[in-house]
Amino acid sequence: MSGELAQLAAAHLRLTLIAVAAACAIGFALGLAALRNRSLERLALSAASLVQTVPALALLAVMVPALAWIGQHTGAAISGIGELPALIGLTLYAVLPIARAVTLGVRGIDPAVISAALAVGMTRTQRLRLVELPLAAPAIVGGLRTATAWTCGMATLATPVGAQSLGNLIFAGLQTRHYDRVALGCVASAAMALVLDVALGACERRIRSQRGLIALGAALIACALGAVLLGAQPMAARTVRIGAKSFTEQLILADVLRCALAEQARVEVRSSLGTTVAFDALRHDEIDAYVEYTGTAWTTLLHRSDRLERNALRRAVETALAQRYGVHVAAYLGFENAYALVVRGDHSARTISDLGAARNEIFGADYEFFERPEWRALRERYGLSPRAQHVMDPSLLYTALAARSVDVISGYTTDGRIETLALRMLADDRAAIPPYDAIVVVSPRTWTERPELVRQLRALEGSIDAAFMRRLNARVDGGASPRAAASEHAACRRATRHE
Amino acid sequence: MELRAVSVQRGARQLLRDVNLQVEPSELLVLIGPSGSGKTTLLSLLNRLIEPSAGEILIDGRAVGSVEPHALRRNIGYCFQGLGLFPHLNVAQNIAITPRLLGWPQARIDARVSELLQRVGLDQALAQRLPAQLSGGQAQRVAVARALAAHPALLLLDEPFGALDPTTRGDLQAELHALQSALGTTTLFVSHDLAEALLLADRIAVVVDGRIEQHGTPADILERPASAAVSRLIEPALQRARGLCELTGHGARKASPP
Repeated sequence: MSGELAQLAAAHLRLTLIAVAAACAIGFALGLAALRNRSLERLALSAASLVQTVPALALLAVMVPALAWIGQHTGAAISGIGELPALIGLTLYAVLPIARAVTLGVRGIDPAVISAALAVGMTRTQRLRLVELPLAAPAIVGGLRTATAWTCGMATLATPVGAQSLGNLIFAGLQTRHYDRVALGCVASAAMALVLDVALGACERRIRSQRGLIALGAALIACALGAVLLGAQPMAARTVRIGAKSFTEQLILADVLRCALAEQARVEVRSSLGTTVAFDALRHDEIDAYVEYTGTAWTTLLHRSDRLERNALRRAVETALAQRYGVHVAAYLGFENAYALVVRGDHSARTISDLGAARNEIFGADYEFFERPEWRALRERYGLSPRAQHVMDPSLLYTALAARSVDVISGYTTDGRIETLALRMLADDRAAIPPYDAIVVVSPRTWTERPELVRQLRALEGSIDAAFMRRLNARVDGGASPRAAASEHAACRRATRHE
Repeated sequence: MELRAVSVQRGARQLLRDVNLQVEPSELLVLIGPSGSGKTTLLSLLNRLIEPSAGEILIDGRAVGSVEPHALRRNIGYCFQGLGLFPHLNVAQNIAITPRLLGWPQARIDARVSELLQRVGLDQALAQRLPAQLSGGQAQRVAVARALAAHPALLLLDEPFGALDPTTRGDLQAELHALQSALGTTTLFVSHDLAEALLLADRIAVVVDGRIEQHGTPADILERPASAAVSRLIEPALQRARGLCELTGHGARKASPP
């Protein structure tokens, strides 16, 4: 645990320092340019403010497809997930407070002092260096402090775009209801922000001299360089990256995949990815493998709405993924994890048809569900028209249902809590929801270049049935870590023996 | 130093109209006039803080427009009511700024700072103080010393004593007069105080509404005002002077027995 915390904290600090240093360089240049040109000032500051109004998580998330698109159209080897999108998002966010501090700091200087600087014969550069920057320095360091505190807090949101940070503890902890880990992640990132702020505060008090400003700049650059080098080391050896979406089962399966490959390579898990983020990363070879579901691949990734029988769907998905994206299915794990509508055990309905139009029911669902083709199909085939629709985190759905806050939820057929909380899955009697076979999908490059890894993944074929999966999910819901649950799987038992 | 047919236009406002003015070497010329008449504008033309819309400005026969502004300004001392001492630099560093920009060796700068402190009547111990730790009179002296630091060919003073109490102001006027006579630096001094102008000036230029109304010695101005505007400007000062005379005369009669 402490080793993991140190590693995540180091990654978090690295993200923060690089982003702040980059934002400093850009914000400084922008602030100085804005000082020379009023219309540029309006343009730059309103653009930066616009960035600020975008929710941080969304800003980081849009970097993923944006970078993938750039990579595709320029042929550059740009990683669409991981640190790059996180760094770009964080940097964009931190530019405004710095640029504004530079501009306002310099504009706030007594005009008499500026006149004097002109009158004694300073050039524009000398005026900036000898008068404006030293006098604006306290304001600039103030802006830098704001930017650093924001960035350090926001770096926790780097987790869903595939970068490691203290957010890993928070996101995974929320999913698996390990609130001690959530608290640890929050406290650690807050403590880091506090320490950085105190350090900068100490600089602020002694910054008035020109030498102080140069020293601060140099220290910042040194920090960022150090951080870059720090992170660059493990990247040298090509590690295998396993993706995981943001729910319990995915965390467990990612660990099973890790076990399967642990003999062959150094494995890293990128967790809390959304479906499209994970798949985009896979087809651009930024992660090597993750567990997808045939139904999701068919509807969300391949944008198909026709309904196929289970085996036909397997074949269709396999062919379409390979032909369109070069993504291959290495194994069928042996269970289905379908979306299912779930009600409390005391509800009279046994099938979805029994709900009628569900005009008195409140529906709760995860972030994706109401946007997914499955929901459209359900509404069309059953004529569902619920009283209200609430979107919430998947980890809270089941307890919300049990607590009668909602009446019907979008559950997962393998979820252990259906049993634990005495809930009931409704039968999909009009077959609106497609089959969801769990498949191990492999990136194009790994498929062709790393046959030894593919062989290991193939060995997972049929190794997990629905009951086993539900039991592992239930264990994590009961307080075990995903890794502990995964250790029941044969691949992990073997891996442990090897260690 | 010479201004030839200089006009300054700012939007619809004409700040200076067709101004011709000649200043002799080593002369102390006081520009006087009501506020807003264009005195400061005229002064700012010389170190190119303001550019003319028409006309020509020559210093030592060279057009100021032909010299880079920063190079021009390093040869012109400038001191104004707002002072603009650099708050993050101490007294010595403030005074040394133009020599530093000119790349003087440090030893020469140190010697010059120490010499100037003495000339403007400041204790050497003040050299390490920041401007915020000085009295108004001390700050003013530092500003004058800064303006003189690089042996400027021309000294521009824009109501430098405007914000001071009368006693300090009188002292500084006298010291400036002595200093200017000793150094022989050509000086333009902007004032709206006629008494100050009369006491300091070799010659006076009266600026009214963007024009030079009269240009002559203090005696010329007092005895032969060229226009009603000039008379209006000098009348209050003369009245005050007459009042003072009567008061002292009256006091003398009372003191001596008939």
